[in-house]
Amino acid sequence: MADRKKYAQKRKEFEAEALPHMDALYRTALRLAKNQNDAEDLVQEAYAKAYRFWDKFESGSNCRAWLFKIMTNIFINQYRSKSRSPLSANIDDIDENFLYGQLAGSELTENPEQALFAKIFDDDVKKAIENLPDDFRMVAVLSFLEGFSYQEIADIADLQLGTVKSRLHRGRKILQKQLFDYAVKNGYIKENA
Amino acid sequence: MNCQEALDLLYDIIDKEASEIDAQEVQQHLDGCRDCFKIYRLESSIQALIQERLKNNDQPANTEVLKSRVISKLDAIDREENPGAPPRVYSLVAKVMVAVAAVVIIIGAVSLGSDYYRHVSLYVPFEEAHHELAGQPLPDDPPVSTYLGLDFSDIGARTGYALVSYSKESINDVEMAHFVYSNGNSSVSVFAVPKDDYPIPLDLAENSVTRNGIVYFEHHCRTCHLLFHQVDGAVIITASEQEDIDLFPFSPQEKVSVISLLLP
Ligand SMILES: [Zn+2]
Repeated sequence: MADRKKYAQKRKEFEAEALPHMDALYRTALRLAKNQNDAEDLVQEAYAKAYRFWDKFESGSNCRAWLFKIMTNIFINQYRSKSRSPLSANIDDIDENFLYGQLAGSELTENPEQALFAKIFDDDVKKAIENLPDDFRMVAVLSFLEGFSYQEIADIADLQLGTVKSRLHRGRKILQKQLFDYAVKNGYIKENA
Repeated sequence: MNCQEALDLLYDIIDKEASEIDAQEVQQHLDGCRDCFKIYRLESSIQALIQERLKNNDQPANTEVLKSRVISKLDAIDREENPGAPPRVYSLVAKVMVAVAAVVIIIGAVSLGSDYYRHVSLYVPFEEAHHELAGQPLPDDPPVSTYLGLDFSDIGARTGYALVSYSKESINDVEMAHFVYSNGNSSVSVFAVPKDDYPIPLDLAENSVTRNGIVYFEHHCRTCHLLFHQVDGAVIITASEQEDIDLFPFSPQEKVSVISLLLP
């Protein structure tokens, strides 16, 4: 009987602490796995694993980061290799100041908010994020979408702080290049020769 | 601080990782340097755009279904790690919720067309109804078991399931009787509604199955299994999240048909 009580207590605690993070986990899972089925599976697996290891969780510490660590880990081990990004090959080709060089003197450097926000849509950004190679996408989503700090991302994804920073940096450059290409393709801005 | 130093801190500033002292020095530099100011402005605009657009992007349309599936998973772990414990009432409730959510999705998909996302709000009355059920023991006496002149009490006896709850609920402003059957591990929901209030969804017409002379319309997907059919003046919707449960016997009409088959 005591055992059963302890069990019910564990379940109650887990539901109260962990379940409120489901929406956040799901939206990140969707950006990582890129489709609803895998994203749902990812969230479920993360919760199952978290529940099994609940006694390893230090109460009072950051449950949200802990859940993301578990989910990121499952993604790295089980989902990551499924798809290869077409961009993996030419990341190093992007010039550091590409965007600014392209835009110098145009309306975008004078009034970037208005020009960008009017013309780039949710789906464009979503596609650009999904085109990022897995390693870059992971840190980008944890930072841009979930607002985790560099140190938290390092803990979650098991990376050195410097690696987090450099991946975020490269990820940003690739994103910018894609959004710029998109804007050019749709005739919103003209490419400098 | 010179331009290079200011630009080196660009992303630390944008990501709010820079120290207060660094941030102040960068600000001083930007106040006096138009070139760096433009780069900072462009980069932070793009960052704001990406963050905002990312957050706008699709939330799950079926949060409640996902939640119920997670809860089922936790139930399974509980049973596995603590085999002596009896099935808990709220695990039953979670399963009922899946079935209900599935029905809401089907009905919503038909009557709302592209307005798919309204399901979340349509779902609310059910959640409230089932919270009341949570934590209560299974009833000793079967609840109300007739509706629209049909008897729903005997269905369980033939399936190994027992009728555990009855409630009136409304889906899309259509009032339905909701019977829940359970065998302790899994549950089946049967909804009954006057046929004039609820036409069987047209898009299911292709998936008809005839059994014992009754035409059923079936929906089978990753998250649920549903049967629709008409009995006298009622439309009956039988629902379960589990694929391996035979839903056909959960029909008040099945009994009549079986008897009529026995007659010469
Ligand atoms: Zn400067």
